[in-house]
Amino acid sequence: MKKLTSLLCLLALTLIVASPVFAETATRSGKMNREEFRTRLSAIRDEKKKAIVERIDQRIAQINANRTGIMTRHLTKIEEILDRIEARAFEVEKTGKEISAVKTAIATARTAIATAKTTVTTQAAKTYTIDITTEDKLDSAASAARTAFAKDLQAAHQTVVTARKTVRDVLKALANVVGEKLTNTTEK
Amino acid sequence: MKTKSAIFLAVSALFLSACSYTQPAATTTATPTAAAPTPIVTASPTSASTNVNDLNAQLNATVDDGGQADLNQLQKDAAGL
Repeated sequence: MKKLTSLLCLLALTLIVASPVFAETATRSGKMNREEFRTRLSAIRDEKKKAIVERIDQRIAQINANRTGIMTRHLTKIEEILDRIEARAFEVEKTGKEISAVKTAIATARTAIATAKTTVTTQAAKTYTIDITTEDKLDSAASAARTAFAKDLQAAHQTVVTARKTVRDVLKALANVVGEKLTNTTEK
Repeated sequence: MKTKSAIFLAVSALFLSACSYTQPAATTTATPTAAAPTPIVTASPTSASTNVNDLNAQLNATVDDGGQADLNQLQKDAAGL
């Protein structure tokens, strides 16, 4: 019995000691990129250029976190608005009005919101590393990272715009059923 | 026996008094603070409203530039390379 207890203790200790090693292995590839970036950055002799590259690298990460955070909040709000539109539609349906067009639009909107949420979550997890090679190619390397980031961020933003547009379409369909005039519906 | 009872009572009394003890109110002079600013009441629609135009206004409140200003600034920051 004592032997078994000792064996279990030993096994538990081994797991505790080994688990950080496994975790490190899982993140090593990402870590290497950042480490390599830091190494190459420190090798840049022009201090002004070095500072610019470092700042761009930091700003891309900051903007990504900030903008995807805002997009997530907006999507939450858009979904909340859709829920209220749906509740109103059900109330209208109880009065005997036909709301099938509203229901179809709601289904489309739900899909668009789900797509946008997935895209924004994926975007939030993305990282962009400036591929430093030689000092004379710093401009093009920074530009490539910046362009890739801008393209991805705009694509993520576009899914939010689409989600909002589909919810507005639901609103238009509901306004049509209840006979209320909807103003200021231009999507910017 | 009497001594034991006395000790027990004394300890109980101390315990009870400790439990009922309330900290005296702070006597420090409070620094006069500036009057709380009057909350700005905006004409934004109420969140519970199901009026189509109120809901539309709330949808409009989620419109932004998608970070275009930040991206433009980023481009400017890279100008020195």
